[in-house]
Amino acid sequence: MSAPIVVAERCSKWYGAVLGISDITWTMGGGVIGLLGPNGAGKSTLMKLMSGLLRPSRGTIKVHGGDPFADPLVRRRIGYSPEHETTYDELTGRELVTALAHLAGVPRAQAPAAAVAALEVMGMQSAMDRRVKGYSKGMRQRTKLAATLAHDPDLLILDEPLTGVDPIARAEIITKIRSLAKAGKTIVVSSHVLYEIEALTEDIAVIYRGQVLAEGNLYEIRRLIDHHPHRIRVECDRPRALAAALAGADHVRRITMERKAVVIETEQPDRCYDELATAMLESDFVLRGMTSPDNNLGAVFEYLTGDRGRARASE
Amino acid sequence: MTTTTLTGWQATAALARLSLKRAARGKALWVTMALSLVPTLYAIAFRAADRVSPDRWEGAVMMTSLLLTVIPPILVASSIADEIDDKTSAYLWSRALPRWSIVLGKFLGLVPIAIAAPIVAVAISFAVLGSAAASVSDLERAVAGLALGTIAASAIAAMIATVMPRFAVAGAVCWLLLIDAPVGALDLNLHVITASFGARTVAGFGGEASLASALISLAVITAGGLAIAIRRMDRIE
Repeated sequence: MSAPIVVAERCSKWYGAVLGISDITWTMGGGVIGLLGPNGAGKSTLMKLMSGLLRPSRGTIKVHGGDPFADPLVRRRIGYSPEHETTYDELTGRELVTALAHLAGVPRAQAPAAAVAALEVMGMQSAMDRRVKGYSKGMRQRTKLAATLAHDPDLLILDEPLTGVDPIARAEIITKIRSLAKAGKTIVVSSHVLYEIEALTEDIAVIYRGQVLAEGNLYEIRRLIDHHPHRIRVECDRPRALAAALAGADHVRRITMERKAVVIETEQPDRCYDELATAMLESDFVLRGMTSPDNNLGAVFEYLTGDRGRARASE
Repeated sequence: MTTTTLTGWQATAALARLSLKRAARGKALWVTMALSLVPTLYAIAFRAADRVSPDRWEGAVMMTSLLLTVIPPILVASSIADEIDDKTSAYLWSRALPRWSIVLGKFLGLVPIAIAAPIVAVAISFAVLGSAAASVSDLERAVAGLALGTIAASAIAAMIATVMPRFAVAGAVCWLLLIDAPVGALDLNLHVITASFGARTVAGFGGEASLASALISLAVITAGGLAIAIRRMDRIE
């Protein structure tokens, strides 16, 4: 068995009086690992600790055997993509990735070629000479991922890389991440949407209230989550028409109209996403955004914290 | 591909280039250029009224020195604070860089612009007012005073940006305009702790204050401001 890449021992992090993560002891090997948990669960804190942005308040976290906060040599082997989409908007995609590649240790003369190669991997070659300011959310995410890759790190830490992107960009990013995993990268990816994690990996760690609540195969967790209704909020040009198109489906429990959006509550998220995509394509809707409010996922995590949930998750 | 770990100075140079490129494309540069026209307009107004005298030169230099209370906050404080407040610092902190290089890189990248603005302004004022108002040596002293004063004010702005990133520009302007400038104008020894006193003295308008004490004062303020900014940057999470 290969040596573990991330080892957290009784690791805790507080932000003043607010708990980020609590007493986590966790070991991560290679492959793709999904960190799943609702907003505020501690996923981003754990990823920032792995990336060397934060230092533990108590306990230790080691990456490749070293302290990522204190040791630049460890950070050189890490590619971190933060959750937020802010970047240096004044620069073009090429300039941004080149600068960040050089700062990550690629020699100055080689940085432009490394940046272009990474942007090509992420499908951004046609837009790389435009300023980031004019990029869509999907393009920003892909540019951030290119910046994460450009210095050829062993470990990629991707915090919510699919948040806010349209379905087409989402599918492309998922394909790219999977191809990186096939190329031998170790990837940690977080999401509060099970559906996204499912598309990337079967190995997950469920984080809730600052603790690793469960880890292992996705499908056992998935079965629990499917017992709970799942909400999907779709922003499009004709929300009422979309609601009408889905109203008859047997898996739809409730449809709520919002201004310029429709919220669908379903018992079968997979079917619902498939039917949404079909309806979108057949009736030529203009999709402006699709999100899955995590209230119901949060309910499942609450459920998992109970004894019954723990027992079922470990079955 | 070979990757290495940049030395602190290589990282500083890379960050200075990055900061300069960003500033050259941002709004702050245009605001800086617009502000630097104000002392020039002052000189032009007196020239047009044919009221040129050494007092007008002193007025032009003093007005230019007021730029030191605004331009370093706009350029240096906002650049450092935005990095922290907009969370783009995550891109830098997750890379194999020492954190002090972030402060120094931004400082070295942006201070040349901050210096250029008052120097260009005072040079134009000199050209407009002519030799009846000031000699070339007067201009040289004014340029030196404004340049060194800008460096010290930029270090103060960097310090304030790391101490209170959310209110960095307002905080730095308040400090430089409402504390540094009035205290620097006091006829008390306390004025040596201010950038405005040092700048004015080196520029030749410090009364009986010694040039050496002004230079030491500016060096201490610059070093102290940067040391605090670097220490704060090391602790920010």
